[in-house]
Amino acid sequence: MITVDYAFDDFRPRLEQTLAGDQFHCGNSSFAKDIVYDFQELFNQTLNSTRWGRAIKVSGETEDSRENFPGSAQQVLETFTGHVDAIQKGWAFVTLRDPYGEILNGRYSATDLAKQGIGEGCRFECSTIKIGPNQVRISYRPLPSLSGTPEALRIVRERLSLTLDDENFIEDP
Amino acid sequence: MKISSKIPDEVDLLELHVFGTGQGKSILVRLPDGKWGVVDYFGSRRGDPSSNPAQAYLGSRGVEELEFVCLTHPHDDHYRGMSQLLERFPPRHLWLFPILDAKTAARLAEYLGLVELDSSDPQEAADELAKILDWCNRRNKPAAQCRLKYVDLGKDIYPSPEDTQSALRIRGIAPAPRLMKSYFEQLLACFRPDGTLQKKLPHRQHNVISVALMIEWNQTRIVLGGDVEREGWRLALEECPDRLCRCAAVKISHHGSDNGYCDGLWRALGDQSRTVAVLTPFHNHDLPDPEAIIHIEESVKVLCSTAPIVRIDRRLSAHSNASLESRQALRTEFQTYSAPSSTQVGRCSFFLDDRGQCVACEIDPPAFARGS
Repeated sequence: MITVDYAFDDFRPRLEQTLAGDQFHCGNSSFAKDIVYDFQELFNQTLNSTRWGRAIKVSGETEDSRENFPGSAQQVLETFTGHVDAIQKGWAFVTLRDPYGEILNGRYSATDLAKQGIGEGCRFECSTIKIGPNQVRISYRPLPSLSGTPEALRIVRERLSLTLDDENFIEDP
Repeated sequence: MKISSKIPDEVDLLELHVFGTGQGKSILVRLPDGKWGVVDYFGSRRGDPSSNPAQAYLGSRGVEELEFVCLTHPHDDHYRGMSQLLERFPPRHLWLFPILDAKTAARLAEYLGLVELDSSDPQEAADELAKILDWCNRRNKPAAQCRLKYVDLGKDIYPSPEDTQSALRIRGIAPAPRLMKSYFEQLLACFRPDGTLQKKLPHRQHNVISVALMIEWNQTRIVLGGDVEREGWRLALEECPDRLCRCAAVKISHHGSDNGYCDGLWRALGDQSRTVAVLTPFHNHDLPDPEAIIHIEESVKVLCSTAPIVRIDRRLSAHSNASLESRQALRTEFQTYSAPSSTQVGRCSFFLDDRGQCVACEIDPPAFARGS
């Protein structure tokens, strides 16, 4: 049996109808949070697998996040294409290039990058994500290599157009 | 030695001019007979000769032709813009790291091109090397009249062996043939039979074939170390211990990395009473290593640097249009910094007599010198 706090009597018919019909949509996060508070345990037990329950949970998570980071959800600040230029003494020396061509250089633990499958000569995507006030998370993931395909070879050969003659590479006496 | 603001009397002096940006470097050598040579060459902006102050310096000294050009090894920071130099000042001698043959040269250019496809600065370094190789390919045509030599350990490079009168000699002190063989085997093993790339070499692997030169003029010795690393120096010391000693000037190899020398090298090369060592930092790889600088300074009289020595973790990223929060996070996580300014080119110039003394030097900021 589900009980509803008296403050929400006006909403009782809708709630009961919604519970029965599994069609709850939350348009007011404050209201949703209160509902979650009152019925959390019960809903966790009985409605966890319903869309209603999932909707409440999502609303609750959104609200929790807003307590830490009012105003909006996570926000990608910048995205770079990265390249590991070299690895020396445990450091991966990386170049980051933003979509407008700006270049940043830096270094990162080679071991930590290796855990993501990113080694010397590898490309990766790097994003800065705002997750809260004064909180920025950096995510990175490997990107596929472009260099090992016949198409890459065709492009490079076309670009370089090398027609070198062996005779001209013989050392002069 | 004195720090001079005036170029001393040019007669009978051997001059060494090292330019550096914190990325690449250019080295100019003026021989006592007034001929000029270039060892490695780096323009900050690709395709823009004016971005290489070495070329402007040649102009300021009235240089119209070069006796020699040397490319030590296939790293972009040693040859960016060199094809334009070759076109503008066709040298009488071109000295290269050992390429073996045209097929290997083409494979090397293709390798660099394929690797560049993945890099953040694509499709330019391989093009430049291809232009240099193309210039080599055309060198025997009448207009060029350039003699090609591959440099390796122990080889007399200049002047020709028949010229027994010359008091000046230039010799190769790296790479060792054994290392060259291994390098090319590894390079060719990167390719599948169909020519596509199956693996990459570590970036530093190209240093294995780096040329190093020794210029000897009576009692004066100059070592230009390229990017030779520990094993290359060890073999050089084994091969010619009597020559690798008490140098007047040394261009420190591999930007002052801690494996840019072997045990005993600086004890042999350096002389605390006269040796000047010049460093060309490479900011992107956080070079020089502080330990290496301490080690080198123990053996030399003066250490000069063409650019400030700045550790990555002390650098700031500052770009007004970017998200400061984002950049701050990147700085914390990756210790990033903005690519260095291309306009900051320092110069260290040394004027040496034939008794092993540096009689004057010029330091053009942001280059600096420290020592007695």
